[in-house]
Amino acid sequence: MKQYVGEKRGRLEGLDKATGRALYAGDYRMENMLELVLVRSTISHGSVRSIDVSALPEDVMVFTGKDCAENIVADIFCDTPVFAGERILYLGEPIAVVAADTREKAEAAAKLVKVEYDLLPVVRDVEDAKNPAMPVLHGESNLLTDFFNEKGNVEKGFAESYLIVEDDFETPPQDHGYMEPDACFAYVEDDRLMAYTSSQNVFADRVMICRALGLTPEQVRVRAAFVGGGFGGKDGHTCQIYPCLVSWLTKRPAKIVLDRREVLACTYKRHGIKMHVKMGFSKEGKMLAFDGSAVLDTGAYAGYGASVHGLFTEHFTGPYDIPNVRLKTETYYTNKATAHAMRGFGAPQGAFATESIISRAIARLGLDPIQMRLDNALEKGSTGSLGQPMDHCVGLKDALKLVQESDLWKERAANTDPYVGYGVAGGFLSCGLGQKITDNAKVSVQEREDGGFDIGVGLVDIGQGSGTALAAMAADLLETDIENIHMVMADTDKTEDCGPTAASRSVFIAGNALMAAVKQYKKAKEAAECGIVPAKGEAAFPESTMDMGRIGFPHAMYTFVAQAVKLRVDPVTGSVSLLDIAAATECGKVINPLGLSGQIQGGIGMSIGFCLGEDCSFKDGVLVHKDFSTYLMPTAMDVPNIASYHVDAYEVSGPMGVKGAAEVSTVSIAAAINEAVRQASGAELNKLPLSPEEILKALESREE
Amino acid sequence: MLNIQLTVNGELHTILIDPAETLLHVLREKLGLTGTKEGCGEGDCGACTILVNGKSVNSCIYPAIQADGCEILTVEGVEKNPKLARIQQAFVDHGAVQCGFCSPGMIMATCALLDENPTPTDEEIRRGLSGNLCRCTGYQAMVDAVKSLI
Repeated sequence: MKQYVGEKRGRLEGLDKATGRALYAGDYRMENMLELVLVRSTISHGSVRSIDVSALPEDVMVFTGKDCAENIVADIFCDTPVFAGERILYLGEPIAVVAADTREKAEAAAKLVKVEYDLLPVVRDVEDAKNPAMPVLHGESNLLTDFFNEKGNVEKGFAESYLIVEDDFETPPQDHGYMEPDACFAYVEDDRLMAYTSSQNVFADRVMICRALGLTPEQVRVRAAFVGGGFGGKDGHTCQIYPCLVSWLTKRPAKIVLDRREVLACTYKRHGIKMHVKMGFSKEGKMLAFDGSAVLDTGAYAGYGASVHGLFTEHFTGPYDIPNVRLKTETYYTNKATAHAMRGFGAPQGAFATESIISRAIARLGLDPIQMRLDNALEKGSTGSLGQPMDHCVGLKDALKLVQESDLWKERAANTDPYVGYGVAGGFLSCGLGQKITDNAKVSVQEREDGGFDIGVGLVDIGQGSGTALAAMAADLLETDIENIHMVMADTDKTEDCGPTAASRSVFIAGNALMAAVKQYKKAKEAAECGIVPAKGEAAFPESTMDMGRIGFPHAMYTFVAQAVKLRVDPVTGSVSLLDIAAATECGKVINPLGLSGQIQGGIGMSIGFCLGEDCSFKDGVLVHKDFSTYLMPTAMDVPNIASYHVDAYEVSGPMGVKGAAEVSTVSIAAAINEAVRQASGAELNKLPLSPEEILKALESREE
Repeated sequence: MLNIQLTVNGELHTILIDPAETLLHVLREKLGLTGTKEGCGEGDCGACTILVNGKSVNSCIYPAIQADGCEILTVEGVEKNPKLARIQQAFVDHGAVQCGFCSPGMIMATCALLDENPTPTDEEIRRGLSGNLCRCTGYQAMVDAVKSLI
């Protein structure tokens, strides 16, 4: 029998996408459909005094919070209104939605809605948020959450250190940059509301829609359309509620598609973070102490801010065995678009700071960058920065060794170009939702009359390839051709709630539930001897054995990477050209090497943008770079060849040995680039995106 | 409003348009050809790339009126041409299709690239695709896919 697991495979739905047949939420249309445009606030902080819609044409409709059963977005904190009114907390917050026969008509009408405001001072950044003279955005203070922990004795660790390196670092917010703008299409059929969403969790969509509209779950069916990328940015409130509300009230089909400027200015972001890292090392390069503090800017609403705070903190030290660790982190509200989940979930920011410090220590101690990391790497049986046990498969050392053996790293010694630099960094990322969060899945196996199988999974394949990976696993488990496997995913009527497509959990959690379902199916099949038997299987994500009393961290397992870059700085302009990248990943057993390479290369591309071009800063609450001609994501010219090396490993708690892999790819490359830039120019840079002016300045002073 | 004539994927259409209407709007809203995507509406991302008389253009900023009398090729037409359909299969086989939203535009850019230069170097492939943004793949798989067709 052919084995599919371990084999390279393009997407099962690939041709539907490549031919344009695949329908994304914005591609749906129906007779008599309404198109929606949001009326958004033109201020960052204040309240709405009045809304005047008298100038609108008669054939255009307007809806506000008064039209909702409850003007609240169901979420972890439930602090976000569907429509803002009493309080505007960021520029571009939805105030009303306009519905018309065409988008053009709705756009024109939205401009005719006159909103008057009462202004409040803008809480621009964390410094403002901490200032007692500034307004409080939620509750009693602008602090969303904080954390302090000390493992070992940090002062003693520093006292015993031969070298101490410390500095301040800053990373800006980043936009997810998914190519498909947020969209949703809804209609009413047989007295039920039907929605096609561009989302990472159709079951959470249903909860959100039901609460805002006052419906029961039975009244609503949510299906994921083809989703054009999410990266965390579609794991929450995007725009699902608006067409559902309009469609339910008018009984007409309704569609919303955000435009790119709305997506950039108003939707979720990666957290901007200011950090201070101090590390102590022995003469041989052993990491003896880590003292890290940070403030995260979470923007207007909580979103997943508290969860990102937790994972940032958990990953701040990097994947190293450090005996003495102190962590002090705080997250604050400000008047900006909400910061939320984004691929890597806080880890890339911390890795930029910590790995830059480690690289500088290595240079000062005259050590080998990979050997020094090998000497400090976590391994099975060691404890993490919070004291959490590493009981699972821990393959950082294997990943570092793969980079050490790569062509990129081997040619390093022969380089004679003074403007060429080589950098490497390690990284890790947890898998699963973490401590005390329900993290389970139910998968169904249903034999079909044509001899094939329907595999029901409630997760959304947002483009990362979970459907193709699970189909390969199902084919092997059911001992059939992959053509006989039909994935039925992300439909609240036909699949069971499996939680979000997030936390690098899909293939792990659904894979374990799939294995249980196949076992159930085989048992039932044996007992029945003939006929079609349905079967279901459940699984829960393992939790860490360490409980700090916190929700969401620590985790029971992590995935590991080592990433190296070769680059050249231009001595005339200070700009950076990436020449080559070698990326090694340990994520347990690899189901689809082509799929894994794609995740790694894509995540690296995203973090190249984070490092070199994407500046999503807000000035006085206003986004500075408002479109794709100024918010610069990498093109095919900016990303070099990326060789993806995979450690052959096996995680016993995972289905067929799997761990998660989608997010860890983003963690390390920015720090590796920063180190290579330091070697090539002498610039010790602490702020992203890296500034060509600073690089040029360093080059000039080096050459004097 | 005025009438224009477009030959889209080999089929002649007479279409009533607004003089300010974009070609993308005509394709998606009037002809129902939703394979062509809108990623930014400002000509920056390339998701709406199509061929007008064999040249790639960003249809989101291309006035429909300017295409009067032209031959238009969209991703839906690529599939009907066995020589070009190879590009679509190569994209799938090399993992160049992930979320798929940039795929139609990227495939149209590849059609134009290989038409102008059937044997591009890696550098030329990257330059040829540099008007099209992709957030999923890091572009490596696309370069691999195009190389497989040379």
